[in-house]
Amino acid sequence: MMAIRVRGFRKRFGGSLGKKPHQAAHDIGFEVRTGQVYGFLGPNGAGKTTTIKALLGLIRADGGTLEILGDPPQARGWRHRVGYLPEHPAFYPYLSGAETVVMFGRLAGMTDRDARRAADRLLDRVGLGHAKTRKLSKYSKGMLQRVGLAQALVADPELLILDEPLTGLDPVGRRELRDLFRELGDEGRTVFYSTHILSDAESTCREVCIVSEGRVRYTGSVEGFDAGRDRRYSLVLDHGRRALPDGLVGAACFSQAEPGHGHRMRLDFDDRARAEAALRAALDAGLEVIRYDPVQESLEDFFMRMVARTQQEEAA
Amino acid sequence: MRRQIAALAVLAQNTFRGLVRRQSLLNVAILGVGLVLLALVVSSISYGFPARILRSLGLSGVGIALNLLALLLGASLVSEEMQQRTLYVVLTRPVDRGAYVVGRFLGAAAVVACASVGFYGVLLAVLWGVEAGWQSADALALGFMTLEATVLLAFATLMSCLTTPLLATGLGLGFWVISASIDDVRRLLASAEGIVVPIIEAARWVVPSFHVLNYRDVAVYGDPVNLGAVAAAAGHGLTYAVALVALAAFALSRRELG
Repeated sequence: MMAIRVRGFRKRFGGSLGKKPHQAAHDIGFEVRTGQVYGFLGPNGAGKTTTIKALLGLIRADGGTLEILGDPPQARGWRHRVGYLPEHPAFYPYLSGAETVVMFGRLAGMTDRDARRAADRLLDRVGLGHAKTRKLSKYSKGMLQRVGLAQALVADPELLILDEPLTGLDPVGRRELRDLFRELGDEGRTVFYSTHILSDAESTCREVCIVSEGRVRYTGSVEGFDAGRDRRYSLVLDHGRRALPDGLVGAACFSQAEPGHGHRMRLDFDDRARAEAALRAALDAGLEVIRYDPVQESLEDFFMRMVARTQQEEAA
Repeated sequence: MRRQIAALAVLAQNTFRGLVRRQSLLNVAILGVGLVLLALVVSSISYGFPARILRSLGLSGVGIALNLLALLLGASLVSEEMQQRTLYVVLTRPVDRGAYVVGRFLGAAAVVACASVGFYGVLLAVLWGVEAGWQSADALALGFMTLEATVLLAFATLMSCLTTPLLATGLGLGFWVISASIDDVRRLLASAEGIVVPIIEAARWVVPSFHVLNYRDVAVYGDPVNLGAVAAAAGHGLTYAVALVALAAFALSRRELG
């Protein structure tokens, strides 16, 4: 069964009263099975938040169909079965962490007593047990993110929709929440979360949808996506004032003097054999090898390459 | 339905908690108390009937303060939640947008009602100072002043679903002026001809008449009370308040929260 189904979603903002139109989503489509931890990836401005808002019925789609737990976004049926954490969560600063979670529990139809019990348990679970009675105005950004997650979980939802939930957290906090997402997935909940950081999705999701410029660039397994990315081998040398061996720079797909280091040179190779040959040549020539690393193509570079490829295909 | 009413109560309670912490509430409270004290000064230097002058000016001051409060609270009641994005999480809960608007409105209306009691308390303390105490007609005048402020609050809430707090405040001020003067303008232009007549007649149906809701003379001069007129006036004010809140709920239900 599908927890989320999006087909041909289109959305345009502006275009009236002299405002420049902006096509936020062109033709977005993907499906999330129940019980999955699913990553929705893309750089900032890719259309992730727009898609999430349309799924939640906060904005209307210009075209396409969206379903959430089998219902259209404007229906009320799914609302007590879904927890949502927005990007940059904003709550009422005069409420304490516990009061916030209780309020959202009561809005979800819970009794006051059940909401209080759930708040107590969930704030412990997200690591805010020590700050339950503290006002949100005194919470840090990371703490707000955590209380946002607690309120999303308060009514024991089947589906969690989290928009950039790891933004603003320190490395320890990120790891804790990633572990929590895995736990939630193990409990049989569907977790759908957006991020622009690939490593977050890699460590928690089996399947991802990658969007950029309002279009889907990839849907499928993380492994499949990983295999599609280029790997490079980066060699950093200190050549003093000596000349580099013949053909060394020519064999690299990218070369650049390291800024701030007078005689250092970075050479990138897109082939492992070529990189190792260059490393041997450099050592034979008595050059100092500062670093030799395999480097995976960054998500941003991958997006750019995919966008360029799509544009070339469209032009052809 | 039961769930929506429970949600409405939670929203109203939370709105009340948020609004009573506002700096603008304190500013209006200072203004209201200042107007009552000004009434005391004016009554003390006027010739004859100091208690009557104090009651008249004091009740007018309370009315102005209540209307200003309603405008300030209502103008940002929904738009501020959109700007701060607190609205998004609330509306993904099983809460209708209509229930959300009504809950916010009821919370703000409770603040206005509490403020009216507080202002009257100050006025009463001052009246006791000039040996003129409480009278039952004050409750009638105060009730209608609160109703007038509630109608203004409902209009400002509608505007806050459509536009920015600043523009909503400006439009609310215009609504206040027109509603307070529509009957006087109509009387002044009774013998007028041309396009202005249908415009005034149309305006009379679109905006409420705050003149109808004014029972201050009953408290000040002891004018006789016609219960039928009181019921009609209450119906007039409540109908406008309900219609404006319903329009606000409709406006928000059509609004994109992008």
